[in-house]
Amino acid sequence: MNMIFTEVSESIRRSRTASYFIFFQIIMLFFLVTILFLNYASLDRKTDQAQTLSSLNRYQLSDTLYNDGELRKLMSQPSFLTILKRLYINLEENLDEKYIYAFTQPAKLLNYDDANKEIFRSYYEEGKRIKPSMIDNIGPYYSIKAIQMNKQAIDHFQITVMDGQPFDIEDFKNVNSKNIPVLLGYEYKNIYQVGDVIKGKYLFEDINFHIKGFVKENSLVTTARRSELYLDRYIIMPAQHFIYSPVDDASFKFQQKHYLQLINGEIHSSNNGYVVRNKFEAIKKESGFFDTQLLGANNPSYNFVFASINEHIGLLTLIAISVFIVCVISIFILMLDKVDKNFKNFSVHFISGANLNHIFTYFLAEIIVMVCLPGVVAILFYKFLVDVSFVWYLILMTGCMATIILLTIIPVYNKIRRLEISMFLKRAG
Amino acid sequence: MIKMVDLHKSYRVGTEEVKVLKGIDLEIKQGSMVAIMGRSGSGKSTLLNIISGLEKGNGRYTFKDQNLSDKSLNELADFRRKHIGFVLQNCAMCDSKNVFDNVALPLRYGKYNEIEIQNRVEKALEAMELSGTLHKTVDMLSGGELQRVAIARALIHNPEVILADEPTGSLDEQTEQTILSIFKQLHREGKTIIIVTHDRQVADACEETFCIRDGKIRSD
Repeated sequence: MNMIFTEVSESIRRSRTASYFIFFQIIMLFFLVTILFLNYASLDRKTDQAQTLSSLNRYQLSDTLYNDGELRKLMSQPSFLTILKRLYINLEENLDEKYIYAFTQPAKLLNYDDANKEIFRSYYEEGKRIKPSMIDNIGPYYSIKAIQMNKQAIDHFQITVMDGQPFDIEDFKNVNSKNIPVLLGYEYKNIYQVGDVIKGKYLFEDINFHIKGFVKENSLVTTARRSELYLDRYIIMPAQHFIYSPVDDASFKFQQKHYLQLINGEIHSSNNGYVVRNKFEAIKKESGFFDTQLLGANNPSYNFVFASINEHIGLLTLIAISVFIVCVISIFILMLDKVDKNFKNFSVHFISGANLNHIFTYFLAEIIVMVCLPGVVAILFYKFLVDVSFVWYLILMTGCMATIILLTIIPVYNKIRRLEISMFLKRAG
Repeated sequence: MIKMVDLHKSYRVGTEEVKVLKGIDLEIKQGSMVAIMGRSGSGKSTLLNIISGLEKGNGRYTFKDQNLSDKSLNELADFRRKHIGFVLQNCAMCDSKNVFDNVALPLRYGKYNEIEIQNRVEKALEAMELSGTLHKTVDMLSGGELQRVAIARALIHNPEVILADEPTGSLDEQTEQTILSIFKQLHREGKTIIIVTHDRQVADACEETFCIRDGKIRSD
């Protein structure tokens, strides 16, 4: 073993420049392989649900009604609600892209002071305790985790009901009813049953939440604010379209507040920003509502680097293959050259008791060191810095290293095998 | 000690087969000092390679009554490690190793431990009056010193037979005499010495000279 180590280190020192050049190439190759692997491996391993949208660009809608005075003025106009409703319907039905509305809007519920219900309160996981409040001298109302989702969001996050019934198309319409069907997260199973009614408030309106079913455990959605949101402790409300006109001022204001939320969803599209923006502008024009804008294409789950990589994946793959071929060719050219240039050295080894197997072993060991040293470093870096699908990465890198070693050692083996020892001795003299 | 009967050896050069040795009959007694002479290309070095086990020929080759003809090259490498010391042409050395590591090389293939290697190398270099060169690189040595290092390497594992291929070929007369006297001393100590040479003076110093002509050996 010492002999092998000594001969390999001497050989690498003798051709320092070429060896360093090859080390650099191998490092480049493993870097590219790692990038490609990360791109193909899923970075969000929790569930397939979030991945259905992971390949789409996401564009956040945001109204531009920042000025309170301007907002109050608009809200005082009877036509404002009509415009809001029209915009929402157009976004839902006429945009020709996915319009995803998933917004966490706490519900206010009575009688939530039991110890077993504490986990459902808003900000429980963050360690905050929100004090219950009295509303119109009735209460206390507790702020409870709830999320409102439109039908497209329910479909695309594949929210599955394990007990009870899922939302149907009629549940997304409200014909002047205080009753709203809801689904409950998995952890509510021991507290309620299908058919139970929970009294509460939504946007300060009295609402009866009719429990229609319970969703599957670990159901996952992504929102603009949270890249991972598990629904186990949530009340899931359908984003309802109020078909009736409000009968009084309170109802009018309620519906306005409701729609001002509904129009701030996300557009998910495989088209680039220019195409989506054009469609959105057309919807705005048709709806008569211009106080809204489309924000940038930031996928909360993936950073810009990976988005760029995804864009040029074909080119990167081609570069990686080219670097691989260059590595293989460089290594075996270097090794074959070493066979030719070290006849004198080998002759000394032969007369000292070496045979051709020894000489072959030195070359094999040198190739293994040149390939596996950077490979092991790359694997260790990956394990400590990234650690995503590590076993598959290890298999990929091992296969890569083994392939390079095999392709480079075969020509060397063939050359050594065909040489007669006398040729070494003749050329040593 | 060394007996060869009807030994043949040929090489393939391109598509042609070139016969170098065409039926060598040779017997070398233990403890003798012999020279092998012949023109360039006559097969002197090839014969030496076969004696050392670096190459195989067709025919019978026995060493101390042991038949080596049917041994593999790996088995011959084992034989070489135990019985043969070889001094190459032009004092061939591993350039990247120092004097110590060059001399120690046969011992490393013989799997000796480091302490024994250290002791033996120091003694071998002392015997060649090269104690101060232990950690020098080979490019710092003269031709005569290099040849003595080569002889130290050939003796390090205490072989019975020393083979030398043109050991004085590139040396001045004085150094040549020094090297020759070393071989004579080894001969007096009981080693079997076989020297391939062009030099008549070297051949005259040996007990017997074999000439290779037309692929066969003639006793001179």
